[in-house]
Amino acid sequence: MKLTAELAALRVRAALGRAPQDRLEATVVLESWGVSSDLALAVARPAREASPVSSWRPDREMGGTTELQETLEVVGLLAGIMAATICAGPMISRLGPSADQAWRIALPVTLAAQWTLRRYDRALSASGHRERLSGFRSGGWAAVTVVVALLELILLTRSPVAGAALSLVVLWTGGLLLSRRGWAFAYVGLLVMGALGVNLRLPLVPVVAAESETMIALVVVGVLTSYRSQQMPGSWLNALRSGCVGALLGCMIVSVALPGSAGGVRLLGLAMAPSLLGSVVWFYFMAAFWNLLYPGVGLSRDSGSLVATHRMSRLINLVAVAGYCLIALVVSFAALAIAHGLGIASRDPSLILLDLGTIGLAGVLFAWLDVLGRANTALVVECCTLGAGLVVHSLVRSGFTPYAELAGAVLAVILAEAIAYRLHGEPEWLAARML
Amino acid sequence: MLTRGALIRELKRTTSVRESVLLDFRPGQRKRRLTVVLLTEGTYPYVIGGVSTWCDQLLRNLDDIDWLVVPIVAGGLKRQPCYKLPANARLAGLVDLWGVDRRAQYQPRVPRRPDLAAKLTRALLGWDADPLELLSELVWCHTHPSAILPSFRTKQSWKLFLAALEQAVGEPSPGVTPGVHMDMPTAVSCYQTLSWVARTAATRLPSADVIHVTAAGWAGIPAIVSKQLTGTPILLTEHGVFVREAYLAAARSLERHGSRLLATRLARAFARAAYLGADLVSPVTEAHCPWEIALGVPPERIRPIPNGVHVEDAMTPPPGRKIVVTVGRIDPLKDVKTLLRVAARVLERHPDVRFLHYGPVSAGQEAYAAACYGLHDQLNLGASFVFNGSTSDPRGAIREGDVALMTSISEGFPMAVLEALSEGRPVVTTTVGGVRDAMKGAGLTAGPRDVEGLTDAVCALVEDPELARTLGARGYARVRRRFSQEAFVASYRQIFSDIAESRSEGLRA
Repeated sequence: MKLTAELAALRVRAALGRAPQDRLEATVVLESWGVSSDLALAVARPAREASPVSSWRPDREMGGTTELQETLEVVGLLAGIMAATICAGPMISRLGPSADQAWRIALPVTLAAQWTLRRYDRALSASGHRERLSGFRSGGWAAVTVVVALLELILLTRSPVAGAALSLVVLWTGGLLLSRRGWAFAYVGLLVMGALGVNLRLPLVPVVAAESETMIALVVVGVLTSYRSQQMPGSWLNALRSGCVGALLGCMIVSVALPGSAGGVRLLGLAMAPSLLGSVVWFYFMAAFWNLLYPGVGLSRDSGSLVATHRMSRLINLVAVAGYCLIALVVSFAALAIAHGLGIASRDPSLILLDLGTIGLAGVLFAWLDVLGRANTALVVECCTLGAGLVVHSLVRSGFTPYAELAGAVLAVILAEAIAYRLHGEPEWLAARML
Repeated sequence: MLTRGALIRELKRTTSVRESVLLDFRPGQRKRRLTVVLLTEGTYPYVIGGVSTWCDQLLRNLDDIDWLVVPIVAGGLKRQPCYKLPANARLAGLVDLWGVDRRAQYQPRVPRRPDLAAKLTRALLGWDADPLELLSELVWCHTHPSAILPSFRTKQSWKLFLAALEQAVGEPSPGVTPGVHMDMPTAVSCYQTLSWVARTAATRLPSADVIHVTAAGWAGIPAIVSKQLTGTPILLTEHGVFVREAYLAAARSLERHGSRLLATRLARAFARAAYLGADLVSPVTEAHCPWEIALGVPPERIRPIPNGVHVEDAMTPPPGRKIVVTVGRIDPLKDVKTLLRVAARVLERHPDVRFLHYGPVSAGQEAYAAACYGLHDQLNLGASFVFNGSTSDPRGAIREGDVALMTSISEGFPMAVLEALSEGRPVVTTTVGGVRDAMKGAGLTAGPRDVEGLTDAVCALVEDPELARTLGARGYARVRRRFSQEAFVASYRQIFSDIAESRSEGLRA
């Protein structure tokens, strides 16, 4: 049968389920039907012209399937916080005021380590990746873990404060790695076991040592058994910059526990739950924008859809902040009730919750600025915030000044949100600039 | 994998070697060794496959040439070379697209060109764009490498780009269907891709007598820029038609329409630019010629050189155990799903037949591989069809079988088919690319995705061992006569010599 342009057009239409985008596509389709290249090239142009024009719409996005895993991670982190809170009381009563120092050292160091690792190992921060912990396979990470393990054992016997601080850093940083490995429940199990050990009045140093050494072992096993990622790690410079953002955020958090009271420290762990859940809501809103709304945005600047998207982008940014505040508020009330129930309420627990909730929001915004490639901006804002907190602190001159930290945190949120709001004016430019 | 420092040292070493050769060069003195830059794209020396085997064969057999290999790879992945470079070849650079660009630091003092992205857009994506316009932009990128990212990072650049993109995809043309819905994420991705085009153009190639490009895609970019600036002639070898394969991938993909359009337009622009710059195009089969001519290559500049393989003095006898062997990557272009369906249909008729598949999963095709494994289970193929993974001895794998089977939907001049013929095995294959040229009268063919046709062909050979032996013997004789490694090497040696000579004459003139 002779291949006419009309017949060719029908064949192309049948194969693609739509009109070909141009004559080369028509040629390829005809070739796959066994038509020779010469003939296909000759009839493709009229075949394309004979095809009825249809309006093309974007195809449906291929959705990811990582919700369960992410939920498990959040549940794991929450359980971890609860376990840490339960274990804090007995630890403080055994270690005395030095436990407060250990927390204050450990938290900024941990956040610095976590932010650095996330930025350096791109597979670690990528949601839903099967290949994780890639950067740790090639480097001298094994040697680092051995050194840390030995150092920790030495410190725990010589200086309980330094030892406890290092143990906490190991536990929390290892917790991130285990969570990304999909072993969040192993992390939680470890924390619960540790809390039980401390509450059962077992010797403190062996319990802490066993807990953190087990964590190191789990991390080693987790890395060795993870998929081998072929992804190149990111730049160390960027990673260290992110680490600084994390460290300063940690300083903001520990500054809230300045009174040095045991109650404040014990409440710290519990009080982080509202900000954690609030940040989940914040990221949910932002993900909804980037994954659902944004892909459908047309290119045409005249259609009005782009302007609408820009407005929507800013609106969603504000809604995300509102969502954070709402969730953090509700969870704070719950945390307050739990704190009273457990008898770990310190002086002004509501103010501590407010402080940490505000710092949590600032932390989320700093993380967002870091993602958008504005780590330097986040660093400047953090420095301003800490500076402002110190100024208020020196002006008030009383022992416990949660208002100073609150003022600093509010300033951080205002500055970071103002920058984020401005950046959200053109979200596509933000994405395009990540070259 | 070479570290960055090692790579820089290697580059300096190769550059200094080349400079000393240049100092010794006297016009008319022809007995010095030629230096050829080999630009590969996603293949040699990092990926096992037909093109890589071809490159390795070329480098090892043309040992009177100094080869400087510049691979273009993608994705910022850690890589280990799969091939050891021979003594006459060395790695002279690496372009890692979409990798971690450590040069991508903010440089406030360099001059910026906010219209760069827009001009690249028009030159690359416009259906009627002139490849010469593209060339001038690429040359600018090459001469101003530190200005590329600062230029792309200006907001004005983004705005100009959006306007240019809208115009390029919306322009009416007789060959194009109007009404494209271009969305913003695709535009963002396009903008980033353009920055990589510019960065690829900034790649500095070592000086050489000839640049040998192995695909009319990204690999062509540094070559045409280098030719424009230094006059180094280009030989382009096409294994598969780059544009055709891009269109095939786009037609099959579930991407948004805008993404498909951009992928194919880019491929078309790359190919047209490479064709424009190439002094000689040597497809591996005459079947590619219509595409190349249609995309602007004058017929007199096309010289097909079929692949060649080493042929033993005698063919090996088939094992006679009803084994069907397939050697090829697990990749949509190899149409492994059709292969599995053919196996299932053959097993319905001949349950004692066994299928052995050898080949790795192509990078980025893990989901496709998972779908193939799923289909394997769904068809209950069990131990009758075995995926053996990658092999370093494809010929040994072929010798295990009585029949070789290939179900590709796109091919150039497949080495797997030649290797099967050289071992005296009859081949059942789809009629794509240069397959028909390779195995005329030495196997059975069917159309691509023709499960029934391929099944009948396999069954015919399984049921009639005498026919299989006859076809195998014919194939062996045909390869020995027409596709020997010696003939293949001699053709390339001649081509390099011709190109270098015409360049010397040009320089003397």
